[in-house]
Amino acid sequence: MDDRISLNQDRLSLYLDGRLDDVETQALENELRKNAALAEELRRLRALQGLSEQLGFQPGAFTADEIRFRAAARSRRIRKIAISAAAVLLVVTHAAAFLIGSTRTETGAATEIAKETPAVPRIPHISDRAEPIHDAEQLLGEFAKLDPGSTPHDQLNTRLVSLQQRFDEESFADRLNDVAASADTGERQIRAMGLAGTFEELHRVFENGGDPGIVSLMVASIARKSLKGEMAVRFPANLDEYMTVLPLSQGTFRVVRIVRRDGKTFREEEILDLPALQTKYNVRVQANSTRGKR
Amino acid sequence: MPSATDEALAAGLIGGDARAFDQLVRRWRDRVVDLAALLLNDRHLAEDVGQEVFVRLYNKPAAYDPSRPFAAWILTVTRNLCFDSRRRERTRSKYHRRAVEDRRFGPNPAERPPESAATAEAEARLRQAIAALPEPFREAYVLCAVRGFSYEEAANVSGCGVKTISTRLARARKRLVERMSRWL
Repeated sequence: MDDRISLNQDRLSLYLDGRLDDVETQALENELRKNAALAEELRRLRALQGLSEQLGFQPGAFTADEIRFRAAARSRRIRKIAISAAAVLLVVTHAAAFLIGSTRTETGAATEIAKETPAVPRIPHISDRAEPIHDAEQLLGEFAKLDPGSTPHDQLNTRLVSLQQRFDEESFADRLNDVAASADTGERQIRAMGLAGTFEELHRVFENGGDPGIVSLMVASIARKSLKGEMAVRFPANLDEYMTVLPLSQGTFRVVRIVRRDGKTFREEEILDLPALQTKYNVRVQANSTRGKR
Repeated sequence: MPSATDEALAAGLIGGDARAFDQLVRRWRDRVVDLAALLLNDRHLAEDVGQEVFVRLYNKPAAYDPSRPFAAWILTVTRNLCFDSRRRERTRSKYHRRAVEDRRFGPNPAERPPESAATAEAEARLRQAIAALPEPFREAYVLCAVRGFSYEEAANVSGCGVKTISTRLARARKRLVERMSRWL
């Protein structure tokens, strides 16, 4: 549709509705006299308008009372829906609360049981410790967990006896010698040695090989003392003092002692070479000698 | 209160006057339904829309602001509900729509006997042609050309400017002339 026709359409529509001012009306009427097509368009528009005005009126068929009834019915329906929704919500909420409550009860019960159940006896594992030393308080705790009711001292004694029973003196010494001779790298074993009192670990070290120096040193000390019927003095004998020995470089050792005095725990550390170590701690170590333990 | 204005009646309804509602229904029922019928081209839907308009007025009379013309308010509500109804209709299945087609206006001899068969057919065609107009054009045409609203009143109901109504009306007329050329 070009603009001129569009403009004429608008003008004719306005003219039909009497919305043109006098000047515009006069101008359009002059044009209509000259332009037959425009006049024909106006004729059709008038015919359409006449037909449109004759369109039948469609009356409503309801009354005010019917509207009131419908409004009341809707209110009842809305109320019913609201009540249903509230009921559903209540059920869901209660169900959720019940489920959550049950879970809480179960969780709570589990917690209670866990509290009442003694800790599973656990032997400190090698990999559990980055450092071979742990303080005396922790050690005491570990022992206490192993056999509730017995004193740490009893524990240690039991373990020593058990160890002694497994190996007679000769075979034990031979075994130590074998360990020393195997010359396996010592880190893992040494750490095991550092875990005071973990004789099972110690035994495992024996089985799997061990560092000749440190294993011989430590185990010989323990074994000798225990075989003589003494408690291991410098290994966790009475739990007031224990010691770890770590090889640092060739021929030197770091000796760490945890000592309890007057209810307090002290950590003492020193670097010793092998002769000094033997002298200070009264051990004689000959790596390849089964008699070195005495 | 026969001479009370619509606005006064509506204010009375807001204040709890039950008789005001009766009067408003009597005054506006036919105009509301007729407008809906013209916009929807479906007498049953128009009746539903008409009832819905008054249910809303009854339930929430305060939705009307008495400081504004009641006519514009109620016709605007009617218009909006018609468009809502039409949108709902569009979403229904084609089978349902087919049934709706059967209810559409045609010659209705029971209500107003046509002067002749040709006139009746022309009227039916015109209703169909109006129903086929885009919503804005249809609204402008129904309000101004069919029911004689002024451009200003139509603009008030439609929520647009007078110039827009004028343009929409011209466009609607052009389309209808093209569609109804046989009967004009």
